[in-house]
Amino acid sequence: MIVLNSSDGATFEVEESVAVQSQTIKHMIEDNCADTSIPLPNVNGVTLARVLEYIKKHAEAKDDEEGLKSFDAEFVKVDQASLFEIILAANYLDIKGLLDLTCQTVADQIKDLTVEEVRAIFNIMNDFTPEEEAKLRNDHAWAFE
Amino acid sequence: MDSILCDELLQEIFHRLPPSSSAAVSLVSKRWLRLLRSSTVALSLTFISTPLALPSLSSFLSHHPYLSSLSLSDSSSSSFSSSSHHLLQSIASSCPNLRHLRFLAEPVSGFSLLSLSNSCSHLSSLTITLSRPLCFQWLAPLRALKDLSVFITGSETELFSYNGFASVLDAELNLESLSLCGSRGVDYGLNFLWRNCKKLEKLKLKSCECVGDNASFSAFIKGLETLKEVELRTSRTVADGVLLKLAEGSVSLSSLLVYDGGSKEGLLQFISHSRADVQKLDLRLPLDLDNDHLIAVAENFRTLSSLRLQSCCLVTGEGLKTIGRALSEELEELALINCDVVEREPGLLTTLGQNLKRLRKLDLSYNELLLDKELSAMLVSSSNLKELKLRGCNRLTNMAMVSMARRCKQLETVDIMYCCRIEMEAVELFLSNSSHLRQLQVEESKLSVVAKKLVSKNCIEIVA
Repeated sequence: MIVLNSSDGATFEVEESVAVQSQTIKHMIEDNCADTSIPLPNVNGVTLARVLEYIKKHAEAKDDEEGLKSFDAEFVKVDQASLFEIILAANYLDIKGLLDLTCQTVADQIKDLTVEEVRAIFNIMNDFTPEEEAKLRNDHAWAFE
Repeated sequence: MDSILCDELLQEIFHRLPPSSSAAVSLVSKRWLRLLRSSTVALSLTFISTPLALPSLSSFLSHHPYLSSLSLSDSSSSSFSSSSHHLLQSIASSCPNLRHLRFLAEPVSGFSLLSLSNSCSHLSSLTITLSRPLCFQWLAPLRALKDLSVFITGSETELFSYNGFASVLDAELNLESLSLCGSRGVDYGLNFLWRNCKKLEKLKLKSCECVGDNASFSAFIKGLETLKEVELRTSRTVADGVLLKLAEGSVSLSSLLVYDGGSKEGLLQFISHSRADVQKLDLRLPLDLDNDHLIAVAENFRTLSSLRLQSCCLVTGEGLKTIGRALSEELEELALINCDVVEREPGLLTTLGQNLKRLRKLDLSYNELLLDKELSAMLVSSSNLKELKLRGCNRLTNMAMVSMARRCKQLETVDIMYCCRIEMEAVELFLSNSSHLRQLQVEESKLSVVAKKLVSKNCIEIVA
């Protein structure tokens, strides 16, 4: 069993065989940095718990394609801020499957939206001047296929 | 909130967006615009504006420094004959990292391509429309080019004497795949290719009446040890010569396609005398293919794994049964598209099904008189089929779908478009009994509510 410490002091126990889905953790174990526990200062407790839920499910139900698909679909039904935290964690912990899943989810959210709708979801300020915006829209006279 | 995500992660998300989102994403904020542009590796643009748009293409492309794939086509009918030169120069100066280019907006000349070939040294695939007189000198600097596709256009009158080209310097080209469309008698510029493409693996000719100097071309084909795939479409005058030369040399040939223009004798020579281990044969030769050819195939191509015949009306059951017996352990793919032998000779398909024990892909499209019982009898023996195409088989009814569901449990790809007697209920029944199905080509209107649920539950792709 491996012990993981989140940034806010929570501890989690997980089987080594499950934990190595994270390349980061795998390398730490191989390099012998994991004697007592592994500190993960970039991931908070709530997010780490979610990530562990993902890798545990993917370890135990490895061959059940359909089951995993529905699990993944439910897994990403969280609020925007949490989704971003999971992306950051998946990136830091180097868990490819989780990173693919979460980035694809965000891409799917964005793909059919207008500019204003995207800005609203991500809480982004429009920093273009009207002239700059007009010039950009002009570029789109080239039709993207 | 997007400041939580670092640049790299935002780009990971952009990579997963379809091209249609680019317009909206680029207007969100300056940061997004910058990241989108630097993560764009492929652009496919339609040239719909007037020549006044030229300066903006250059600046537009310069914002995408990591572009590796660009496709430019022309939807307008007016011709800007002087602009292709400038367009190519814009591309050459703005996209030095380009790997793939499709430039079908305008015909170009060999001269204009020089600027491209001198800047885009990493180009590995190129599709262009070349105008006469043909010249291929510009290929020499493109050491990484593996794939070249040329549509030839322009006036066919010989305006230039070719003596000037006699001093054209040869250069060993690394081309592996060459595709030519529309060559005529005046295209001596092609000889440069025949002298210098020593590593060619794929050759595709379409609507080619002549390929430059015959002697050069013949020597080229015969000497090409690396040639694996040849496709000859609507090139009757050239086909004969090619087939005869392929018979003499080309021991690496594994795939041959001849559509709409071959020669009986040339094809027979090739089949009887080739020493190559041909794997795939794809022939659409209504007037030039008969049983003699099939019998020769059965004798000489003992490792054939794919045989596709279209509209071959001179072929009879005797020829096909010979194939069935000789290749019973080899043939994995059989297509008899619009071949009325299938309708004329009852029991033929049954025999073929029994003989061809390794059959995985079957295509019987456009056999408008094909009956349920003929198909079913064949499917009884072909339980390992993965792909079945029955497009346009108007006589097939719901019974055919029942047979498919019962006999062919391994089916992954099915095409039943334009089978007007196959109805919704049969499609639904088939869907609920095919656990391996990945793709179904059928009209949307034939999918019931239950069928649609099954399709989305099992992630089956529907193609109309």
